[in-house]
Amino acid sequence: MSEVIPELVFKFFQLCNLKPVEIRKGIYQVQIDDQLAKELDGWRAKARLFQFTFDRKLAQTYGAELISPGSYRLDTIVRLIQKQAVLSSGYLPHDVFYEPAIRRKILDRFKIKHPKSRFYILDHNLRYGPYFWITLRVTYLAYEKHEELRKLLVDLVSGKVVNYDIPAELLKPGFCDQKLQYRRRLSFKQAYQCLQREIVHELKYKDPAWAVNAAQDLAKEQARLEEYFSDLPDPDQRRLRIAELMNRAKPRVQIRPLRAAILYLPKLEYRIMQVDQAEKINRITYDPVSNQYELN
Amino acid sequence: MLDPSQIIVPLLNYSDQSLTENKEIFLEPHQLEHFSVEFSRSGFSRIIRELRKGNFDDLNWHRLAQQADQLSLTHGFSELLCVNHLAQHWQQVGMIPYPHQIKTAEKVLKQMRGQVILADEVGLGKTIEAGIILKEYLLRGLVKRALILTPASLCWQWYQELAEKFQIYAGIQKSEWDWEHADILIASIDTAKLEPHASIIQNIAYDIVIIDEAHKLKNSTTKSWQLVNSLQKKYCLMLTATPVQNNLKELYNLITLLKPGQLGSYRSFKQKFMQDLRTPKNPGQLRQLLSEVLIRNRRGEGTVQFTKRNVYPIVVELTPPERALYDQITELIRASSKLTPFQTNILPLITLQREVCSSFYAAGVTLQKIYEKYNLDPDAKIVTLMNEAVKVRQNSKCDIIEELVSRIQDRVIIFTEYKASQEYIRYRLEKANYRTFAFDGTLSRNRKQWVRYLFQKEGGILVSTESGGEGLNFQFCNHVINYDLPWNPMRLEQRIGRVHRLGQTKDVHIYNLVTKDTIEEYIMFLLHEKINMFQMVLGELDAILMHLKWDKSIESQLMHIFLKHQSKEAVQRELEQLGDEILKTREEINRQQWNLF
Repeated sequence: MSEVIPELVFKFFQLCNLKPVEIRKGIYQVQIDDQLAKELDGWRAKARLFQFTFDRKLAQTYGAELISPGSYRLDTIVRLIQKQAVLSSGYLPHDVFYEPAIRRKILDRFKIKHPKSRFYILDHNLRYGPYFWITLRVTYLAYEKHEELRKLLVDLVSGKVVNYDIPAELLKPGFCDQKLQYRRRLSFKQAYQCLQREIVHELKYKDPAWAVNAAQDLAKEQARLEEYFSDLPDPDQRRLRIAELMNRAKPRVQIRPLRAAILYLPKLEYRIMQVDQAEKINRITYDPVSNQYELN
Repeated sequence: MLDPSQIIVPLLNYSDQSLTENKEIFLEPHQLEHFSVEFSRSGFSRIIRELRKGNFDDLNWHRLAQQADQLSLTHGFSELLCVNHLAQHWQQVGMIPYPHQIKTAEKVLKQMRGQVILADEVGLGKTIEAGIILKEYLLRGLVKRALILTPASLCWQWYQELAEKFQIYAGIQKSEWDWEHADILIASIDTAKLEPHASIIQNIAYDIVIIDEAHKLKNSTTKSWQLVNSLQKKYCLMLTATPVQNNLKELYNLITLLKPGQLGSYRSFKQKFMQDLRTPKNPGQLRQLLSEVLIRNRRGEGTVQFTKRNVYPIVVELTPPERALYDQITELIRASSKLTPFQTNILPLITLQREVCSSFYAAGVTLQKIYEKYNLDPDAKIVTLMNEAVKVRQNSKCDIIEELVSRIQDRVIIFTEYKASQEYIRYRLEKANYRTFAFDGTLSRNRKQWVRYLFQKEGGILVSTESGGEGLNFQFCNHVINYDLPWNPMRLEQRIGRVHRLGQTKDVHIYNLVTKDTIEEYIMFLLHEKINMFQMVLGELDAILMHLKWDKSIESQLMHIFLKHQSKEAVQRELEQLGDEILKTREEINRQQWNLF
């Protein structure tokens, strides 16, 4: 059995400030209060001692509730979790990165680019850039339905959409020091538009085989319908049936934002002195998450 | 088993988010070469609303929710989610879906794309199949709004089956308001087709419409057909054990209602597939087209092992006063058939003849009606017969029933065609200290469920008319007494089907009471000895009756034979012929494979 489910369930109880006790190997017990019971099982449910297991055999033997892929109990827990955290905030503390190493890396890069020059860092400054971190459910719909989850970041300063793998366990809840924050230049609506542009662009170059097949099936069905209605002049019925067919079979991708977080990710600003025949000060902003820098 | 006394009805299902909230709004789609891309506006607005309120949740919940989002994704129909989802529940309620039901659901979801006629033979669990499909669609988020149209008498049964077996808590439609406010609604098709209901539901876009007893939609000129045709539906399931009842046009109407264009226009269908109304042309090609939209599981195809069916014909000898009265009434019927006003319409005579085989109480009611309707002379024969009927104190069939019941010592269902007989049987049994329950068409659906529940829980004897038992299942009982025999074998099969179906764990015992030297004996001879109906594969009989090119019903056919001949030998000879015809048709069907499904 996948480890994902027990991890999710225990984490869920932990966030509810509950600690399941293993009363027998593989069987857990936890006292659920009225409120949680109602959230899980509807308004008629009451506080109770809840016993659960992840093992089908144990569930049968001891009568504990089974939590397994597709089980009712997992479904209720997942649904309850999904209702939470529509919006959150967090930041990635700068100290997860070792600054001297960053400094060395930047200098090395400059040296490679300009081997005849000498570089040294005048000073550096820590800032946090605002990002809109959106979790999207992408649904590929035709006769069948396939889904995937995308977690994308929109830089609320530049509008760039990035697909970083944010190390979620390193994120800290809340906001970073306001004085260190970059000012947001994009509205959230604009950020969503940037995201749309990026996704549409990406989908344009993705293998469209699923949609081509679906479109062929749809064309066949539509031709059949048209043939039927050619003998039966009933425009209302025709319209209705075609609309139904489209609803059922037209290939389309639906994208739903499920939740979002405003994240602040560290950015390091450096003033670097370049010395060759003359002296020149370079200002760069380094993004340690993507390991990229921008020359200002 | 749900205890109806514990249920508050109607149970309308309102999801956590109401329908209006659930309705997702998308931005203008981006059209790419092969598909379009739609971005949800409502999903984004939800986030913005939280932003405006400054509602920031804990990031730990955010992380967990992302994991939950990942778990709840749908990946095609590679396997049924509901099997796992309901595994434990099914274990608790003692339900085990049969492999053919799972296979059917998979086929409907994967290949037939949610448009299908589920035409399994009686008792193979079409409702279960529909429930699995509905649950699967609900779990995958492909269906949010569902409408289940059934005959009024089955609404409760649907409610129970969905709640008990699938944890789908539907509502039962009670008022106009319900149409627009319930996610999953069960409604009577006869109510739905009437105004103002029809206009309301035509404006609702349903994700799925399920129609039970769909053979009632065989005629495209009926309101029911037109209602279903006008509904906006993404998926549609039609349930019937008899997709073809009379002719191929009906089949065309049914398929076209489900999937217009599947069989082309009627003109082209006639040209391609109809030799005449009842004989198909190009059966291979037609079968292929039908297989795309129709699934028919049959018994004995590796589907389900049914328990044994034991049939006991019990010959009842009438007492001299009963015999005298029977003969007199039969004589009256024979005489009347030669006179006006009966000449043109044989139906009242059939009724009377059937009643007299059932009980004199049932016949007495009809005699009185005839007397009143035709304003007959008080000295007329009918009046004499009515007085005679009152004087007959003994009822041989009931004597036998008392004896049978005392021997069975278990739950028993006694079927009769007539309410008067039902009342008399109950009177007799109650007098003999048996607990009885009445079950007939006059009971409200709640009351029927309650009676069924009591019968299951407390045992006793259920005395039911046919209309009472229609659509309700009693697998927990395995003794059926047919107090009288319906003349139409399909009706007899329906009676037995109430107990001999999926879920029946014991052998079923059927006791047919046959009055000696009456028309019942002839019918028994025809059904049991001649065509061996009780051992036929279920559903075979309906195919045969449909295929027989008779210009009148089987009841009229029998009555004509009975009226035409006085002697037992002559009647038997004609019945032999009738039986031969049925058997010949059966062979023909098997030979031609007219049976298209």
